[in-house]
Amino acid sequence: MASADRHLQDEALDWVRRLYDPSFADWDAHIAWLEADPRHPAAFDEASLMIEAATVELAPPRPLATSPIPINDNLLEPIVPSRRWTRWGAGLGIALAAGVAAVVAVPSLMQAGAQPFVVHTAPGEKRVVTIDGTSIALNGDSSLRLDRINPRVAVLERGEAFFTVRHDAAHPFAVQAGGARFQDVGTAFDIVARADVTQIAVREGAVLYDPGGAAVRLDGGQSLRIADNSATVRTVDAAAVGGWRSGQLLYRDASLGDVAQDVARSIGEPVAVDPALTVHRFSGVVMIDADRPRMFRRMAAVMGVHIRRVPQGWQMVLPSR
Amino acid sequence: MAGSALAQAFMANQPLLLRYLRARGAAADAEDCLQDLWIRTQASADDGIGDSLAYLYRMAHNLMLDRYRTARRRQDRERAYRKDVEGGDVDEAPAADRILTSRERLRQIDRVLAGLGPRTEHIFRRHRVDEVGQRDIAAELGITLSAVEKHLQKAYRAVAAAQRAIADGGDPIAAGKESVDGQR
Repeated sequence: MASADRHLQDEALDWVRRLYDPSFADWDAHIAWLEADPRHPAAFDEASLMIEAATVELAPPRPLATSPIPINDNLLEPIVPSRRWTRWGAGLGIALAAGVAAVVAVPSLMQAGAQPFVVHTAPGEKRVVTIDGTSIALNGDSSLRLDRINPRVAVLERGEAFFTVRHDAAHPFAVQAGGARFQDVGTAFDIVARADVTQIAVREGAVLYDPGGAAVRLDGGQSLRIADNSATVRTVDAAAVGGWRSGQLLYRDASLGDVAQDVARSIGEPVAVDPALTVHRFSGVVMIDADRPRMFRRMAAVMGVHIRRVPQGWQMVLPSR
Repeated sequence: MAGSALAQAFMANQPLLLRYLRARGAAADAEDCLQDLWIRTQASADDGIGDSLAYLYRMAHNLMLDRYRTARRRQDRERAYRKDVEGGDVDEAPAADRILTSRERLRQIDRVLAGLGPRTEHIFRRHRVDEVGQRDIAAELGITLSAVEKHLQKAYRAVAAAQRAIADGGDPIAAGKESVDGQR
């Protein structure tokens, strides 16, 4: 790289560093620099975004283990991470939110100093948790980790949860599931975390997937399925998202394996799928019904499969004719 | 609302703000940007703001960054779309590409930072992730402000070089190292 270019970039980077300081006040000098050369404004924008892109989801520091230099008294106290979401002080979060993709650093969700607690449900059990105005409905056989210190984060470790988020632009609600990050933009949405698949469907508002990186925006009626390191966006019936809460599971072109897992979670009994059915897809509604034989008879009819009772639970197989 | 301290500061300082927006490259859009800034001012709770003008500059700075980000994303999308149409796979490929790069990117940046030494890495994370002021970091570590600035300059250059290499398909680790060597 030519040294003149390099010098320009280093200068721009230095302004990015200076402006990132919460107490930066030397705007006159900044303006003077911007006006000094027509290449400066673009170099500054470029450098800002470069650093932003490189540092999204960067983890906070660990306290330094040992210090080779004289230690101040104040170092004897543990270094406590500052409040995560304050950026330039109260109020400005609103301004940032005006652009949907306001880049807010989403650090590793559970920080040092977090007081995590876990909410579990047994297979077939449902539970609603309310934290700081946000309501989270937990489907059966699910596990959700929350933080007493920061009520705006949640980690869905297993299962399915429907989030109705109290929107606060200055403190976006962040969810982690199966290694994926989501951030609400004013929202009701459902997340399923299976062993190998993570899926989110948005009912109202919007959610950012991978807010720091790709920042894919999902609006109401869209779902994102992440499996095998690839992500697929689909349209779904927004009104049906989270329907499991009232016993209705709605599918469009779903694999029978996914349907079986969802049903199993809802009824608390294993539902197996014959490998011969892996290529079958299902579109339609499954109604969860306390009368299991009736429920499975209806399911079998609408899915075009045969469902039989087995010692461990239920099994979907090809129709015998 | 128009009587708030922030709104008054906006009214009183419009020429300065317009000058700033132009300096940031808003060009013919500067007047539109000023309008946007006014709207944001209206939406902003303004209690507890010390220096109103500095606050307005900060808002204008964020506004310009948002605009730039949006423009960039649009370009990226159009580029990705063209690529997909030619490749015949329209919907799914771009997201998949980007997921891999975003995870891989974070790993690479972590490695570049680790290569700068524990102190530089700690200071960079404290500044960039915890958003602690440089003066406060200096006090925490018992070192001078200018020493903190030097650590940060080194880290910024290495991270930028690595990020550039990632975008160009080069080797981020080597680029980060090279940027540090170049500063010696």
